[in-house]
Amino acid sequence: MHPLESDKPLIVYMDIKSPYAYLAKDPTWQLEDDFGIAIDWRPLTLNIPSFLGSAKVNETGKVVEENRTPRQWQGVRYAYMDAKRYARLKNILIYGPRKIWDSSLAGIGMLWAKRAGRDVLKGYMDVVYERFWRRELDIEDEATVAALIAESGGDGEGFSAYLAGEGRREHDALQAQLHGAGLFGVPTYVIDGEVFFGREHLPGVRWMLGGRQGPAPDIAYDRFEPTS
Amino acid sequence: MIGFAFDYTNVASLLAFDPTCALADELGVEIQWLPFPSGVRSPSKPLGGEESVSERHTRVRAEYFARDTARYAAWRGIELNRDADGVDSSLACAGGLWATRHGVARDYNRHVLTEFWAGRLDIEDPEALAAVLDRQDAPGFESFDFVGPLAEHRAAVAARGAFNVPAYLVEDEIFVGRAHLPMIRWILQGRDGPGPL
Repeated sequence: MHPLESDKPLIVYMDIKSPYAYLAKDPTWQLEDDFGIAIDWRPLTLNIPSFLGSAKVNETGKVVEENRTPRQWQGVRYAYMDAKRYARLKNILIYGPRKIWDSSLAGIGMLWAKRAGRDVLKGYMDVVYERFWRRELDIEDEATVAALIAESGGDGEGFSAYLAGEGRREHDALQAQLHGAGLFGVPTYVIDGEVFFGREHLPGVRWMLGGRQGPAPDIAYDRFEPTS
Repeated sequence: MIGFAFDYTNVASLLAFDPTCALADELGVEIQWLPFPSGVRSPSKPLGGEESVSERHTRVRAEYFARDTARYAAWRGIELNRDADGVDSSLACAGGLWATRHGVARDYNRHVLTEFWAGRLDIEDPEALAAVLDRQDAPGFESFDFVGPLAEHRAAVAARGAFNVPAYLVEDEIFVGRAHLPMIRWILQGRDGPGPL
């Protein structure tokens, strides 16, 4: 799988543990309906300690382990505050995770659900994001992910074999190519080989999908009414 | 009122300038100009030896943002003919305070941002900045003892939560980046209807 190429007109990279990916999920699905396209959804498993340091908090929210600079803390605190204020507008609950999760298993689950078709994938993503950000989900537990796939209408029993073989290989091979392709965060949109990081580029992505009619839009966290 | 914290050596501040003015004009609100010297950026150095994952992430991210900035500048017809490595914006920020005192902040800020990034203005040259201010009816910048006032101003802006630019300070909230302008519009219009996404 080439990171910037697909038989679909739009590739979208996501990671369950990014609140910004969560905020982008629904307006990105909306592109499928508004433009009559299929999106090639892919996992980008963030290595958060490599760019934001690491930290663990206990059940009361107290930091019990950390390896972050003051600047990194400032960035992380702002990011959660920012994500939460947008989430409130959509009645989405975002509770800050108590540790940095390894989300690769959930990402491989996404690849497996994708094989079962759009509805299964959408159902899986909806339930995984919602429950993870309510702190109701252990995304490092294989049986939990398999159960979510089954709940979404996919083949939960087949997930274990996929995870042990092709799924893990496919995921890891893709991750190894991402930096080389200029990809580093989520959500990331790839259209016509161009890379757009962040949901603020949805106006530009929509402009490109719509044939670049009129002047190019600026970045914006803006709302689009469904066109269909 | 829209508090707008920005830095002349920050290219995202340049890209934010016109949309910010447009929103303020549309809503009939004032902009509180908050020049915010964000420090001298070191020239990027080629990495020696093997890159760590962290270094590679930082490099890929920086390369992306350079491409992204160039893309939107090109889409909007904005000239970007230089980088800001090693440039100290303190003097230009002091000029911004001087311009505010004389009621010419918008013109000064537009001119300095635009001309610096077009490669036509040396913002570390006090005579060049004084000439800009003279032309905008804000004479006397040469005699402005700005070190104390600029430090106080910077500390006051930081105390309001600014840590990165461009940042908007609106109704006790901080928003980093021009992508938040729809949210700022929604807030200043009374939070009517569904908010932005």
